[in-house]
Amino acid sequence: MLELISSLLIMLFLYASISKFLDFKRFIGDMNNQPLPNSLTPFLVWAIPCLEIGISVALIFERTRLAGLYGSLGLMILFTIYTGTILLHFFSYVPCSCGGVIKKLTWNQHLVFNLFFVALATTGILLQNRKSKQTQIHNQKQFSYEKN
Amino acid sequence: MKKIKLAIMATAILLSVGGAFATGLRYDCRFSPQFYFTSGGYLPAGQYGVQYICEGGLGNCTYIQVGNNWQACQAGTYTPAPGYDK
Repeated sequence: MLELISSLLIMLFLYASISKFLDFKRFIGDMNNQPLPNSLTPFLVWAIPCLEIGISVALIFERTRLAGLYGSLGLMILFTIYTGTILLHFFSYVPCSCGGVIKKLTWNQHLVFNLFFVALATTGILLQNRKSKQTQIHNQKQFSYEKN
Repeated sequence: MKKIKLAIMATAILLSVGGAFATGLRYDCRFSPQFYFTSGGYLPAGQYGVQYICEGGLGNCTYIQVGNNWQACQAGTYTPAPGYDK
């Protein structure tokens, strides 16, 4: 189950980051299109895809999976808050909802999509923590058994 | 069990990388010169994100010229970029 959750998150972040790098010029345009200060664009166009790749790599390995899951949750919460502010007309205009195949989604669909991945990352964290606790108990039992 | 876990991860990586290349390397109308429609006809739109933006997702924001015809390209409403004085 945990591997399946991690795989879905890897697919999301890896697909999104590679799509951005493959069409970097358009991604810069899309970022400028967002109602954020354009001075942030040079930072965001590198930070977002690099963070997505970093999270994907962390999710692959068991040792770093929990950090990857927390990273996924944090990033998806940020995206969800941003989508929410767009839908609540917090900004002066509503930009296009662009990015890879996901650009076909409306902002409402984006919100549902993001919430699904927030739930997925949360479930992943709970499962990973439970697994770690079980391993810890198992190790403690084995240690006391060997001691006796 | 470990082999199954590895296979799941490998499939996820291959699907995402393959999918990104498959969709990213398709022909994209945005690489062609963009025009917007006004009552005066089709006018050059300028540089996307700098001179204009496409607001929302309804309607046609820009068009491209295909022979003697005009084909819709980006969705939304054509709007001069905030802070850009046309």
